[in-house]
Amino acid sequence: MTGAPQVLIQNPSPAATATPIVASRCIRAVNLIKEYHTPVGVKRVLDGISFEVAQGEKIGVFGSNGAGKSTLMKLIGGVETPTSGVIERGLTMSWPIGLAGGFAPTMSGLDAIRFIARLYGAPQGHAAEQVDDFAELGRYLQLPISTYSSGMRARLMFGLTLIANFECLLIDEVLSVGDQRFRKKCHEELFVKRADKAMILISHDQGIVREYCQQALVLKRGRGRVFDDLDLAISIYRTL
Amino acid sequence: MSERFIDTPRGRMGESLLLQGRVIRALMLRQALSRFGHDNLGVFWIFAEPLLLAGAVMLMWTVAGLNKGHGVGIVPFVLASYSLLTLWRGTCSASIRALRANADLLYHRNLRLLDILIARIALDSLSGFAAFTVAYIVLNLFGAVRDVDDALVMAGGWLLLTWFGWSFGLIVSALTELFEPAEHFVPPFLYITLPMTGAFYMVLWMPPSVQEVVMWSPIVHIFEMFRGGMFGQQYAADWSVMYVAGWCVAQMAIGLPLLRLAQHRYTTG
Repeated sequence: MTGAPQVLIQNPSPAATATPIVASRCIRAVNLIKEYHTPVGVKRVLDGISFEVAQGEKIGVFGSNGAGKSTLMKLIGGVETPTSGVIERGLTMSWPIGLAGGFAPTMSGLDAIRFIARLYGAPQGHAAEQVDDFAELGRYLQLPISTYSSGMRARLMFGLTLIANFECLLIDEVLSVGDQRFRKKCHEELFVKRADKAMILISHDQGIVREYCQQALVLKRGRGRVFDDLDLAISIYRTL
Repeated sequence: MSERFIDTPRGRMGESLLLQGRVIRALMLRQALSRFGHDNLGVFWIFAEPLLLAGAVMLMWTVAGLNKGHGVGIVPFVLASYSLLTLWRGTCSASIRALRANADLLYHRNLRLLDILIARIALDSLSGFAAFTVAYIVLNLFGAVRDVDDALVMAGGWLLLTWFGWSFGLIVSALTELFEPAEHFVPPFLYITLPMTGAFYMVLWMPPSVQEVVMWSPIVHIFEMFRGGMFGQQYAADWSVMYVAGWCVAQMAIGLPLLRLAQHRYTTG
């Protein structure tokens, strides 16, 4: 990776994204540290996390509850800043898939679609079709999101992330919500149709990580290590 | 389909501006939707509010028999005060913990906190000015208010208040995020500084010694400018655009780094 010329593709067309990986086209976290100030003193939630995901690569993130997964997600997602360390985003990156990112409850499903389409410069008519192909909400799209069931909401939120053509997808346990059919469709959209995208996959599902990821980051109490050997990563995660 | 739409940190200047324009437009439309709703009654009330106020004032003054001989006319005076004050107070109140309120939006990588704050003030300012204009035209048609003297000066005053409110809002946003108790100081502050806004008097009504004091307030300058454009220069004290602009620049110089610090310290908890 080092020493390669820094080539920036300003306007990645579908053809350009298929070209060989260039050094700067990746998501890279270097020595991330995150400290929270609490009434019982400073708490270091993340302590020196580093990893790199190049175009088309997938990394799984393992960790038991409280290991720092959500904090890592907030830092990568950019909603919080690290206390120290750097996150380089050389790929266009999604918001955490499935997360309700800034939709007022009074907005209808269609409003949310239009908002995301405007924000990312996608044609609105096409976006609505695309989302509903997945979400199957039909006329419910015209009702406020606050009236949706949790399943409907999950389908809409997932569908929204399909509008923008992200190069790196941030996935936090989305595959563990919803019914069988929803999970199957998510799986199809993510791992079949978007098999060429980079992914940061936070999941308890070791099978998925083993099947699709090239590396895994195992977190324990804020410290973490990247393994290329997934079986080793999984066995270590199991002993935690 | 263009794919040049996300997180281009090293993009060219023009491209960045285009992207920012698109992001702000999307945010304004989102804001308008959540504020005014779908049934269009929300929009109706935006325009109805100032008219209701003007109607009530006219009624009160007619009943009290005071509707004559006040130099500038009470209805346009109250209408101007109300519209300017609504923009100013709205800006301040909406800035309280603006970061926390909008945190979820920040997951979208091509959107910055500053875009959110710009979009909000732009919508507030536009809708406020539109409401004022519609109310004024309606009242003018009914002969309740005179023709304005210089609409451009009024628009300038309105823009100046938009800038002033926005830059002050930056400081409010940052302080309320950095120090939890700060939000409790904002409403009393707004109340106590009411006399320093010029909403309830024209500077020339005051004795010279008082004039000297109130002209230290940048908001008084803005109110005088707006009413100067409305009634004619002879009714307003000498306002200074440069004085207000100086305040705005100073507030931005304090507010922007403070906001950056607040964002760095911010935790969703």
